[in-house]
Amino acid sequence: MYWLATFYGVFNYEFRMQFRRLVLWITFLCIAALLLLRGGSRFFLVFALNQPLLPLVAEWARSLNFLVPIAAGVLLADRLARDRKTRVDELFTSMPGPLSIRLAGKYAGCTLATIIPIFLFFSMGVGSILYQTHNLLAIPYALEAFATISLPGILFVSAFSIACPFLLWVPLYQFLFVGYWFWGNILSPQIGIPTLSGTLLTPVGGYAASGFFGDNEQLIQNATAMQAVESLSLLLGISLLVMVALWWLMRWEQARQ
Amino acid sequence: MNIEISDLSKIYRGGVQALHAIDMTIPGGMFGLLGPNGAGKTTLMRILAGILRPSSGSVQIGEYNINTERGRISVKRMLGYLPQDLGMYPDLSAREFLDYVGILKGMDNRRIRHQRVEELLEIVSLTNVANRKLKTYSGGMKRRIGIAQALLNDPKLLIVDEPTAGLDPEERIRFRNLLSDLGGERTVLLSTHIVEDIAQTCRNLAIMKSGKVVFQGTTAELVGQTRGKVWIITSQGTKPEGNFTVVSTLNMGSTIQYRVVGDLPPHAGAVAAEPSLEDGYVWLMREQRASIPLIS
Repeated sequence: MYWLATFYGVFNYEFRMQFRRLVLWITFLCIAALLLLRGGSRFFLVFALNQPLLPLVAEWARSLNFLVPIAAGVLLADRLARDRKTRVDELFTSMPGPLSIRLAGKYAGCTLATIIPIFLFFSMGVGSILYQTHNLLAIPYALEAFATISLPGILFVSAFSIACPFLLWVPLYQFLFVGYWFWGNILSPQIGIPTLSGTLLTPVGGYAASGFFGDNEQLIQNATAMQAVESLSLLLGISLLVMVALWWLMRWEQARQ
Repeated sequence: MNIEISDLSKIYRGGVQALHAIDMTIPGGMFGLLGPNGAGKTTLMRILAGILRPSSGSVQIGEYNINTERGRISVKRMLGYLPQDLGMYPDLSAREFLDYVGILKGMDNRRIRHQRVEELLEIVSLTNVANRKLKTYSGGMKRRIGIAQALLNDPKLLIVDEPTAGLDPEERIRFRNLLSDLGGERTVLLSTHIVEDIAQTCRNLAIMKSGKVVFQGTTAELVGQTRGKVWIITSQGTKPEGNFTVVSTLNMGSTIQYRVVGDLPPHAGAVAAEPSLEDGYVWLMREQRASIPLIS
């Protein structure tokens, strides 16, 4: 009960602090504006032309996933590092709240706060699809698509963005992360440069989009549902491992001090 | 609650030895820890607060041994800690920050926690600005939030590291009085290099220098050691020279009055003066400096 209360408390405040950041909203507004400008006023409409509803919704979720996780990763990178910068880590270490619960609360709280603007933007597209198709099934399909295509990638990115700056300087991590994103998710393997693109490890959600929703207008085509499950499991499992490794590392560092 | 420290040493990575086999007994009530910068006070405080692990030796706080994980957690439950550089999230309000700290201190009953936060905001006179973000607070206001967070869980052991640094004289006095009030019913460990803070609040103290305890006893004992070694010299302008340390210089207009600490009357016109705790501290530091060549 005590652990649960601590988790909820940390989650609540980490959520609030991230949610209130002006830069979070400005960044996602800029991304939305960028995508809208690129697609013109027809941006949300182009998907609704000749496709069945299910891959249509999946394509919208996957399209967002090319750019939006970059912003999420960059915006989450300072969350743990600032505990050191503001020196609250010393104060919190003198308190009985366990480090593992603090980390879990921080991860969940600031990730959820970052997801909300993404989800709002995603919902705008879903609204547009709904408007054009007049099919209410778009809503459950959209929730399903968001949960399986967008969410695992963001959780994956979030775990790394919280953990890695424990070892790396935040701007360096952000720079490397952006580089990784283009190299490991967008670069086509056909170019000949070794890349993680197209593998089960890509968090852009290609396997889920193809395997669950039949969206094959992308790098990964004709994936099976089993491959989609494997990709999801891998992404979520690695996220969990990264957070456990961070906890272990921080405990080890505390013991060495 | 007593704290027993035995043979405590701390060596940092890189080989810097911050504490050298310290033995100390800290009784209940207010206890002062005095020493120059770099004496090891903050290291000792951090070990007692469970932030650092000792390299060797043991610390028993009440019934708990902080060399064990279980002991450290038990101590943390009854601890209030105000570090030298208090960290806080600048984008939280004072009320939110105190609530967050309350949660991490294990105060899981929301109603009681909120009530306690309001009580402490009242004690530190910040109720009317409690919704303002902490980044807008002055240094003194932040120190007050610091003491409020330390007291949230009504700790049996309160560790405060340089609490009056950066406070204006009025705030310092208010802070000292608050600490004295708290010392009546708990163990309060006050670390500072401001002698006046100890003189006004503590009966017992220890003085540290270069990672060692060079004095432990009552303030009266320290002052007593200096009796007959404090002198007032009045000069027309030339600074007196000799085997003594000048504690203070007071310009009286046509003359200058020097308060000095030394073994023998430093000057024909020197007048013996009643020693203060500051004189005692200066005397002790002087003796320590003098004894270093003998040791080496």
